[in-house]
Amino acid sequence: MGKYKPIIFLLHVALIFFSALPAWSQNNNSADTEHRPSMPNNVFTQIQIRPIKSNESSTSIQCHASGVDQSDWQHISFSELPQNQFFCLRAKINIHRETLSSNPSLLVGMLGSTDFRWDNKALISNGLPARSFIDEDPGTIKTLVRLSDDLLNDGEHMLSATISTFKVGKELDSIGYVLAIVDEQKLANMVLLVSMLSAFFIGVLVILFVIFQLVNWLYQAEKSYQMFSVLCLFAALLLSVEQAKFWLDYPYNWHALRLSVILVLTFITSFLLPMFYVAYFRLKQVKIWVACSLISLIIISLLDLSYDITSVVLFFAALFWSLVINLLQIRKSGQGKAVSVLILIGIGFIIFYPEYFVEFGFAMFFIAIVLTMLVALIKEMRQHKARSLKAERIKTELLRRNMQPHFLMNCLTQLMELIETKPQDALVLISALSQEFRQLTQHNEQDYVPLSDEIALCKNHIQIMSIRYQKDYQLAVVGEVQGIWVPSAILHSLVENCFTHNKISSDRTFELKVTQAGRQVNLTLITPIENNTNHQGTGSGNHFIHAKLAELNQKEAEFASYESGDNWISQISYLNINTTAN
Amino acid sequence: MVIVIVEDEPLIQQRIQRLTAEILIAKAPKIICFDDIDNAESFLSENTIDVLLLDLNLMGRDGFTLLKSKLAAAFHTIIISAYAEKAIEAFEYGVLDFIAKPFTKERLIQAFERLLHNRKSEYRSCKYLSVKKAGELQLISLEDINYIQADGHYTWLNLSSSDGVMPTKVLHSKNIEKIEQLLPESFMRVHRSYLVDMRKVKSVKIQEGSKYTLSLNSGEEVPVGRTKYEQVKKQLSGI
Repeated sequence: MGKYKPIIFLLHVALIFFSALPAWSQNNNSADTEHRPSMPNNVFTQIQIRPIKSNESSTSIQCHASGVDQSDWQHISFSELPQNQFFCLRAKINIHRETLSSNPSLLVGMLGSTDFRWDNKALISNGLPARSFIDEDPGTIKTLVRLSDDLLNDGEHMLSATISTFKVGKELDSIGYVLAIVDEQKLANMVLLVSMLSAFFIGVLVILFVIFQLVNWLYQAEKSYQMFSVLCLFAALLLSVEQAKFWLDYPYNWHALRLSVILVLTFITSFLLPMFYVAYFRLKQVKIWVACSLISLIIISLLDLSYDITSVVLFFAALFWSLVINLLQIRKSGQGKAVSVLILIGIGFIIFYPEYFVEFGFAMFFIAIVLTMLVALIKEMRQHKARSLKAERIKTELLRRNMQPHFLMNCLTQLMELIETKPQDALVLISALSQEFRQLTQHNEQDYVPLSDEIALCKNHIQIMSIRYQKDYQLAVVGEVQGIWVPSAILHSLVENCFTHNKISSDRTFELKVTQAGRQVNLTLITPIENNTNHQGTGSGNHFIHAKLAELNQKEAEFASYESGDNWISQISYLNINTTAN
Repeated sequence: MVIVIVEDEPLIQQRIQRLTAEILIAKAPKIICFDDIDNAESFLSENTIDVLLLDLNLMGRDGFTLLKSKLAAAFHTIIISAYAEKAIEAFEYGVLDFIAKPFTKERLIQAFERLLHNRKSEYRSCKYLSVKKAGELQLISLEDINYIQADGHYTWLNLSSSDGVMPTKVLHSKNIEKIEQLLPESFMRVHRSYLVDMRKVKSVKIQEGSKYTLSLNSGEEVPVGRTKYEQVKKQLSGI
């Protein structure tokens, strides 16, 4: 996998750049009057407004008439439209037919009910502007109307409108977004492209959500999978609400609600992102990280910034904490380098282009982060699979060791001898052997078995060996075994190991000490050593125990074994399982 | 009669010992048991024994190396092993018999009869003879042996030295009777003191005084026993 790292990294960088491109191009194509470089033609100039007082009407103030006294009209830019007002707007435009695009249409994006006129001829109305909150019938956020050829003869034209903006619901930085003449076809294409892109991203995120839920429930319960899945879900929700303006022409009084929802979703997503890394790296100070990110996010939310800036700053905080976690992890284990670089790029993006980050950068950037996580998670799954395969292989090997023809043949020879000399012992050996085979086969199919069962298996094996070597070996158990479960066959493999590595020529006693502290179970098995030439601790038995503990996801489990006098000490500590779970 | 048993499992050791004592009761054998071959080593080097009943883990290469060193000795070796699939290989190296576990008394009787009545090894599939030369173990392929000459309790293996590196004569610790028991059919006891690979005989020569000799491809001449002549002639015309 290592050799693909640079490629994945390059892909990410490319993704970031491509994510930035539409933002730039959007800037140039859109008719956002404020940012657009001033062109001589086809641009609305001299936008003026005048409130319509209660004793006036649009006709009385000659809203739609040109050439009237404009001394009490206020010059504004379109983004400065007033809230909670009933007013008249007019703007001038110099049309040059030959420089106009092929399907000229008027695009108005604003929060308000409008009734537009072109050279004092009715053009389009969106909702019903009124003098009061109650009377106003809210228009949708977007107005698009084709300007027919006869409206567009060369020369100066006037666009005028009566507008009411009572139903915004909240104080916003700006309620006027776009007022421009655009190419209808190009606009439709652009909207289609953006919608498809976001639908694609949302689809990807939803599928990831479903996949990782399934992985978590059906394959392996893992906090990081769960966290990742939920993160994807919230990112998908966030993206859909964020991008809704492109395909959903909703009444403008819903806008504030939508912004609030975006904020809440951003908050949750920003909280989940660092939490995912906490879960993924299995950091121990979960509470500290939760506190850090929650407190910072809450403080940001309380700062009373505008919606857009709050979103950006929230996400900035999420990236900041994720970066801190990843940097700490690089120091600890070398993981997290690609993610750190990616986050740095993201932070740079936020700092230099905050306004595009919310609109476009976020989606792409999030997808890039998700891709990194996905690669990491899949790597982890592969490791997990490798571990289970290894454990499986060792398990089979252990089982086969007892089923090996030569083991069986030796047993049968011993039985022949016992039948001819001590038939009673032969019966004991036969039942002990059958018991061992039966139990081993059963245990092999289970992850955990009750400790008492495992001890019975060990005692049985020790009995077989006692008969085999005509000695009296014993197993003494110290401590309470009730309610304790043990990864299956691990003690048995230690006992077995003792006999394969040793010839114990005197009656010796094996000892098992069991202690429990909370969920933590400590097992100490003391097995005799007689010849020090064959060292224990390197055989397949020990590999089996390590592999088994890893397979069972016993992350905190420890296994150590060492020689002490004429004994071999094996210590295993692991977390007891919830008995109802097995 | 001295018999050494090497077997690490006490019950099986007991079985071999018990059955051997029962079978050879008339010979009042002296049976000595060891847990493993290392412990038996010093006894084997200091005592003359008749047969070694050996349990070997033949799965590793070490087992066979150990076996070869025993096969270079003057006594016969009978393997008693659970690794029945290794029997063919063991015979190729020259064990007298290979008893697969689990085994009955009858099987052990069969093995002792072969030993005591100088019967040929059952499969006669021996391909190599091990010899110890200056403490080093050498494996001689039967293909390279032209004829074998008795020398008291020892035998000389006369080799066709194709490569010039091998000495033309190698001393083996087993006597000619024991060697003969192991060798395949192509080897014939043409004389009280000679074993010849009949495939390497060029012709029979009649010498003065109605003495016969075999002239070998290598140019060497081997005497034929008076009583063996008819048999030799028959064998040669049969080929």
